[in-house]
Order: sequence, then C-alpha cells, then structure tokens
Amino acid sequence: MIRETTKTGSAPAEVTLGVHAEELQIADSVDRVLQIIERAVTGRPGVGQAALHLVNSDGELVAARPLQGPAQDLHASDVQLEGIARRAFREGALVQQAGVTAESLWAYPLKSPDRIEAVVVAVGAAAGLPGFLAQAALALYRERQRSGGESHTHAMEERAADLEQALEVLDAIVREGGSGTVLRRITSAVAGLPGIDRATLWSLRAEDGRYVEAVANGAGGPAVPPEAQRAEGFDTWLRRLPTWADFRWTAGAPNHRTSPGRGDALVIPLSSADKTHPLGFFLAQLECGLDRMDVVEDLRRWAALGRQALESFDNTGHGIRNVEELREEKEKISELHRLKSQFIAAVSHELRTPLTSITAYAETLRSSPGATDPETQDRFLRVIYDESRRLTRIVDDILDLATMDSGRVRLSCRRVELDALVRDVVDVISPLAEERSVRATLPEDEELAVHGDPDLLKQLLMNLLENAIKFTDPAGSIEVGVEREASAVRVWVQDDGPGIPADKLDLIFERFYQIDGSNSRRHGGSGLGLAIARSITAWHDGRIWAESKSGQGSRFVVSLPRLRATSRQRASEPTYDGAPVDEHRVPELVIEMIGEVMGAESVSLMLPEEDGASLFIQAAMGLPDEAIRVARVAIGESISGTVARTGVPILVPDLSRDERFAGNPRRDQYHTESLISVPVKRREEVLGVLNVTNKASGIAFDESDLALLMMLAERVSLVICKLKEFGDSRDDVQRMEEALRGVIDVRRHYYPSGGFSRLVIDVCRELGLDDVTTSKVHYASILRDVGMTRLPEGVYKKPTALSAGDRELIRRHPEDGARMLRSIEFQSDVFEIILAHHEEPDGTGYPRGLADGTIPVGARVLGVLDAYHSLRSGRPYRSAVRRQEAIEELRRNAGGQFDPEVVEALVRVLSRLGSSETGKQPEEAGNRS
Amino acid sequence: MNKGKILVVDDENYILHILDFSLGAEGYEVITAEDGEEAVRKAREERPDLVVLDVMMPKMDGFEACRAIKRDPEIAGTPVILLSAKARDVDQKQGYEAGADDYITKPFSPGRLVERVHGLLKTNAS
Repeated sequence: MIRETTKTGSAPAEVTLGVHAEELQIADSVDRVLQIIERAVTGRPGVGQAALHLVNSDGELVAARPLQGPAQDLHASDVQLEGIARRAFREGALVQQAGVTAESLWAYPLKSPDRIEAVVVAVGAAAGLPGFLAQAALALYRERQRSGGESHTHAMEERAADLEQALEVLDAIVREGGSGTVLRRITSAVAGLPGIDRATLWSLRAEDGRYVEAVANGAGGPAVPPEAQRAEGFDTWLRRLPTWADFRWTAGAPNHRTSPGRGDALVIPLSSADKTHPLGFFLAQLECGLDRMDVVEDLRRWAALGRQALESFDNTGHGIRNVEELREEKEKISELHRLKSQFIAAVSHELRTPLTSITAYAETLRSSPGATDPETQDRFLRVIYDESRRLTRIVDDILDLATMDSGRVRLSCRRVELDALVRDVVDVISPLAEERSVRATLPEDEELAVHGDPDLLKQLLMNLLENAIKFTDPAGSIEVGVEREASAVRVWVQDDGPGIPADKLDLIFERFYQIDGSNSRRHGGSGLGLAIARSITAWHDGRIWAESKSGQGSRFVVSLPRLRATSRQRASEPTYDGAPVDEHRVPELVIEMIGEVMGAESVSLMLPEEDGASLFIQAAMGLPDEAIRVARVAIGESISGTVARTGVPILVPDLSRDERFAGNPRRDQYHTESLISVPVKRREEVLGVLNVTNKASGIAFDESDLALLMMLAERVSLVICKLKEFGDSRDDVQRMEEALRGVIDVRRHYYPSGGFSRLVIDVCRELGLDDVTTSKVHYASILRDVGMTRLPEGVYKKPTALSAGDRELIRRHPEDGARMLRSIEFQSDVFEIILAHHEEPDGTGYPRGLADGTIPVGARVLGVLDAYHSLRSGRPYRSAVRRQEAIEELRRNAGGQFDPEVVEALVRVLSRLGSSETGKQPEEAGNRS
Repeated sequence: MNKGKILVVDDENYILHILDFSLGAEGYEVITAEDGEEAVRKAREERPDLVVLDVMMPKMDGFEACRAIKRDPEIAGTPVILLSAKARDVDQKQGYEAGADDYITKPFSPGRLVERVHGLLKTNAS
C-alpha cells in the first residue's frame, strides 16, 4: 500500500489534523462535525477501513456508519470492527488489538462531559488521532447541546412545512390521480426527511401478484434486492407487519433488527382504505442510526398519502373526500381561531368595565379625604359590591358558554311541561320586573311537553325575560306565551320596547353585541344572555329567532321539538310539571331491571298515543335518544304494532332468518338479530308493548326467555297501574324503586345468568312440572336472593368461614327479599318459593323450619340447585369440587337436607348434559346462595 | 375655590359618579355627558376648560368626539383626556392621532387622573 503525500511533499500529519481541529471550532452542526471527523480519520496515512458508531439518546451504541475516504486498502470484518467498538464503548478508553489479518485495529470513544458521544473504529494506525478525536467529542457535545434547545421550535416549523407539502400532494392526487409525478413527490418528500436517505414505493401488480418498485428517490443502491420478494413467505411477512417495521435484507429475506443503522430500512405496508387488500409497501432507507422515532410520525402520514395515491390508480377521485375533509378542517380551525380572538377581545373589554369601577371606587375610598363620611362610604361600597357581582355573573356566563361550546354539557333530560315552566319562571321574575307587567298566555288542555333539561330550559326563559325587561320602559308590559304546533312547541316573549332593526335581528344573538354600540353594562347583564339562550336552544335541537318592527317592540321565539305523549304517561314518567321536585325513576328502573334480568342489549316500553293509532317509546335503554324521541309505530303494523293489536307475544330468535320480517327496517336500524315483543296487559286490555332485543351473550332468545319476559310484563303492568292509581303516594313509589333496585343489584352482583337458569328449567321439566309453574320457578330463581342486597358489604366475600353473626344475617335474606318484592310482586306462589328456598325436608332449614311436604316444589328445586352450584363453583371459603363428587354429596344428604326426587332429577339432567360437557363448570359459576 | 370646569363623558354611570366625586373634591366644577354627540354639544355650549372622554360609547365614540372638538376652531384649544379600556399601543396611537392630549387606560386611578387634569390645565394656562 503506497499512500501519496502532496507535491510539496512534507506537510506533516499533525498540521493537517490541526486544520481539522480549527474547523471543529467553527462547525455549526452535528452533521458538520461528523463530516470533519470523516475527513480527518480517512485522510490519515496508514488508516484503512473506518467507521463511526453514534450513541443514541437512550445511551446505546447504534450501528456503524462507514467513514469513506480516498483509499481503503486495509480491511477487517464487520464483526471484528463492531466487537472492538463495543469494547471501547464499554471501557471508555482507546482499545487496540492486533487484527486477524495482521493489520491492527483500534477503537476510540469520543467522550464529552456527560457521556460517550460516539466511537470511531478503524483498521491501521491510530497515531495522532486520539488527541483530535477528543476535541471532536467536545465539538459534538457542543453542537448537540445547542441543537437541543432550538430543535423544538425548529421541529414545529418543519412539521408545519411538511404538513403544507402533504396537503399539496393530496391536492395533486385529486387532480392527477396516482400519477408517477405524484408518487415521485411523495417519495422525494420522504427521502428529504431527516435520517432517511432513500425512499421507494412498491406497488402490487395485479397481473402477477408481484410488488414492483413504483418510484424511487435518493442515492444508493437498491434497498430491496429484486429477488428478495421472490423469497418464500415474503408476502406473508409483509401482511403480518404492523404499521411499520425495520429490518435489513439478508440472503434475500428480510431480517428484523433491534438497532437499525445505515442501510437498514423501515417498511410500511400499505393496504386499501377498508384494509381488505394490500396495495404495496413503502420502504424508507435509514441514513444512519439517528433517532428514527422522530420521523416515524412523518413517515406514517406520507405512507397514508402513498396509499391514497396507489389506490387512486384504479379509483381516481377516491382521495377527494380526504382533501375536502382536510381543507374543511383547516378552514374550520382558522375560523375558530378568528372567533376566539374576537371573543377574547370582547371579554377583556367587558371584564375591564366593572373592574374599572371597582378599582376606582376602592382607591377613592382608601385615599380621598372627601370620602370619609359614612354615607359616601356606604354608597361607594355598594358600587363595589354591585360591580363585583356583575363581574361574577359575566365570568359565570362565559364559563356556561364555554362549556356548551366544548360539547361537554351533560343534559339531564326528561319530560318538561313548558306551560308549567313558564308559570314558574314568571313567578320568579315578576319581582325583578318592578313596575313592568309580565303576563303569561297559556293555552288550556294542550300537550305542551318537550324532552329537555328543565334547569337549562328555565335559564333560557329567564334570559329572554331579563332581556325583555331591560329593553322595556318601567311602565311597559311583557307577555310570554306557549303555543303548540304540529311537531313543535313554541315559547315566545314579547316586549313593547324600542324594537330591533331588521338588519340586527341575527346579530343580537352574538356575544356582547349591543344594538346601540354601548357596552352591556348600560343595560345590565353580562351581554351573553341571548348567546346562552341560543346555545341552550341548539342543545335541545330547537330554533331561536327574534321578530321585530322598529318601534313596536320585539318578540323572541323559541321552537322546540314536541314530545308527543298520552295523558296516561304522565303518571308514570318523571316529569317536570311544576310540582315540588320529587321525581321518581320507576319507569327507568323497570326498563333497567328488565335489561338485567333478560340480559338484553336494548329494552323498550311502548305505549299507545292518545289517538290510539300508534305507539311511542315511553322508556328505553340501549337505544339512541333520537330514536326514542321519533320512533312511532302504527298499531297493527310491524312487530310491536302487531303485538299491540293482537295481544299475542312475538318471539323472533333470528331476525335475519325469519321470513316473516324480511323487509323489516328494524333490521338495519338497530342491528337487531333476536327479539321478543310481548304485550303489557291489564286483564284483556293491552296497556303497551315491551320489547327486548339481542342477548348480550349473543345467544338467540328462546321460549324460556319469552316465558320469563311474559312474567316480567305482568309486573310492569302492575307497576303502571299502581303508579296510575296512587302515583302521588311517595311511600309506595319508594318501595317500588327499592324492589326494582334490589332486582338489578342481585342480577349484577349475586346471580349467574344462562347456565343456572337452564338447569332450573330442565330440572322442573324433568320433574314433570307444567310450563306455568316452571316459569314461576325460573322467575323466582332470579329474584330469590334479592334480600342479599341488604347485607352489609363484604359479608359474602369473606375468604374464611362465616361467623355466627354473619350466618344470622344471611338467614334473614329470604324474608327480607320477600318483603322487598311485595310492591312489585303479586303472585303468592312466587313469594312462597323465595321465602322457602332455604327450607330443608328434615325441618332444619330457615327461616320457618318447614318440613317435607309443606315446602313448595319450586323451593325444593332451588335448594338442591343452590347446593349443587355452591359445591361446583366453590365459595370464597370452600373450594370447588368435581361434578361426581357434588352428586355424591347431594345424594348423601338426600332426604335430610335435600329432596331426593329433585336430586335424582338433577342427576338425570346432568347425565344428559354429560356428554357435551367440556369445560370445568358448564353450568356457570358465581352463585352465592 | 372654582379651579375650572371639566366635562366628563362616559356611558357608565358609576364612572361618571366617581369622576364627578374626585374632581369635585378638588374644587372643579363637573358637567357630564353620556355619549359622543352630547359631549360635542356640551363642549360647544358650556365651554369647559377640559374634557375627559371615554372611548367606547354609543352614538359617537370617543375618538370621533375628540376629532370633532379638535376640528371646531372655537373649542379646539380645549385639552382632551381619552379614557379607554382599549389598552393596546395602536389604540393609544389612534387616540393621539384624533388629537387627544392624554390617554389613560381603564382600569384607572382617579387620583392619577386628577393629577393629569391639574397638569394639563397648568400647561394650558401658562
């Protein structure tokens, strides 16, 4: 190896290094320092192959970046080089080693004050370099520190520019489809990202299912060897990738890398928008082991654009929606920004006004010699007080508006009788109106109900009335009225003030807007009253506007969607009707209880409209509010309508397979698969229809579910009638609520679903019980432990055996349960089962110590099944046993604790189940009693 | 005792009262107006020695009223102090361009305002 020196012949190596050292002083970036190191190292005589390992922000040595110089005749293997580099990194000092091929190797760590910045590794002589590299380490440190501070703002700017570019490209996709030019722009943008030096976009060719390089950008050889994708499993590998992955091609197959370095690539698979078929992939080759996470975000966005471009090859225009969306988004944001700054300017002015008074009066009070007499002081203090309150009001109003703007309002909606609401608000406001007369015009016997939040609607009306008072002469008059329309209820407020010019009718709803240009203080109020009124109206899907002829006063009108209802409904729905707040939740609880018991996704109770022609949803769960409000079913039509007319229940195990309802719109509307619709009857009169859809477990409803829902419908009928008869009796309503809550609780916390019920029904049938009795036992099995919900928390979860006191408490639950259910239960045999389900044939059970023969069969069935269950599933203090052991235990106690007939029936049922049993506890665990 | 007549203009009653009180306590005679038009009219009719003028007012705003006063040769010499919740530099600049002799931002100190009034009247008199 002969290395030529310059013609002048004798420039010593140290001088050259000195020049490089000076360059280090003025280097202004990490990259620049790295370049200087590259030139210095590779320019040294006697240095062959060299490389530089950077250290990433996690303090790990990243893959080598080759240092390329004029001559590299001395070589070593990558493994050797990396090994010595790691040693130097570990030891923090120069490591030299005789090479396998007679050449020596060295590695030098570039140490800065707080860490090792990099490691330089080379084949050949090290002479003179360590001193230079020590200086280079400091320069690297300096540049890293400096760029750290700037990088944040810089990164933001870059990101913004990048987004801008992305938007342009998206535009181009729309104009040109996925043309080559567009694809090139995408890849070149990616190649321009920091840390990436080459980007290629590969698209799937439909003819042969091969990926072809659609477009490439950046220097360097091919990132993916052409034969690579022919490798076995390439396609599978690509499909299996998450959103991106890094790897290096070795031997024609992709290999994942833990610490990617130069030459490694990030691959991002691209599939169609609906993710059904692959379109291609995006490959970005890493420049070196820079902190790649920075660019991943950008890469993803570009990959998304790449996807759109590829997709629009065969589907031009597909990207249009996205462009429009992006543009709309952009416009929306800038509009919001504009409104926000306008609002802030207005707010600061409005806040300053009362503040000005407060500070001026306070200062005068404090320092003016003229303000010492008590009367003046009192007057001044009153101003300060008034203005402070005004300030508070403005701040409150701003917060109200901000909440409504942000969409975080929690409306607590219910039926609101607008006439009652108007009466209330007029009562409140009259004293504030002073001399002005405020009169309400309310029609009689009209349905004036809406579905809304009574507090917010009150505030809406208050704001309108306050506004009217402000603009009415002290001797003037104000009128409020409510009118019914076809599908809406209108509330209007009329004043006889100066009126509003036609061109200002819309503007008055803007925040802080005042017709005469004064600030709001002049008229009292925050200047936000009408803006808030508008927001509240919008939250109720209503409309608000003002009508006025100058000089003839103004009329503010709010139109809200009308809630159609029957008079029947009044008794059973939580209603705002002006009565003292004593709302009950019985209908909601009924629905919730049915949902729990049936394990249904949605439940609705429909009642007939007053004209008797159609049904509306009176209460529901699991359905969108909108659907509840608008749903109307003609009696005689569709499922619920048919049930209402015929009084005969309908069970649809699988709607999609049921030819009776092939064209039923419910199918798409509510994604209903399985449903039951039963009449709620009082004697022969159909009061309403109860619908449940889709078991949460995904299993279709069957006959036993239908029987159970029929039982429940009878209870619903009882509840409706009771509410109608003595809806005002607070005690009874409370008892019903308690019972319903108990059932909900017991279902949620104590009772297993599905499997246990199945066993109950099967054993009853095995015993030859008729269907009516079977469904009563089934129903009672669900409610039997309601009394448990009365227990102090924790008694049942004790990991140890129960204490005598605990046992005493537990022994009360049958009676507690029966008592709790009294308000919603009317069948004495159901009571009896619940009361007796812990009685035992030998008379040792509780609570009454009944003996064989006097215990109802249902109670005996539950006694056996409870015991079986508790054996099989274990209690907190007792471990589970296998089926055979459980059966033996039951048989041992047959005749004493258990009814032998029931035990044998259970054994027969289980043996039939036996062959299909796979899991450990097919009958479901969790029963606690 | 009468040190001069001051026209105070603001659509805020509370501000009018406190200015009336503070300036009155210093021996000034205070007359008031509640909007720009009234301000210009009273400036002509009553010939005050100084005008304290709010900016944000109905009918005619303070800037415009100030310009009207400064354009009328009969009363152009009357010093005008603008009083405004608009605190930005550009607002102040607009005020001085309208011919104002001083610009005070709200919230303000009544004591300081009285001092400015003293000061302006003194320069004007000399």
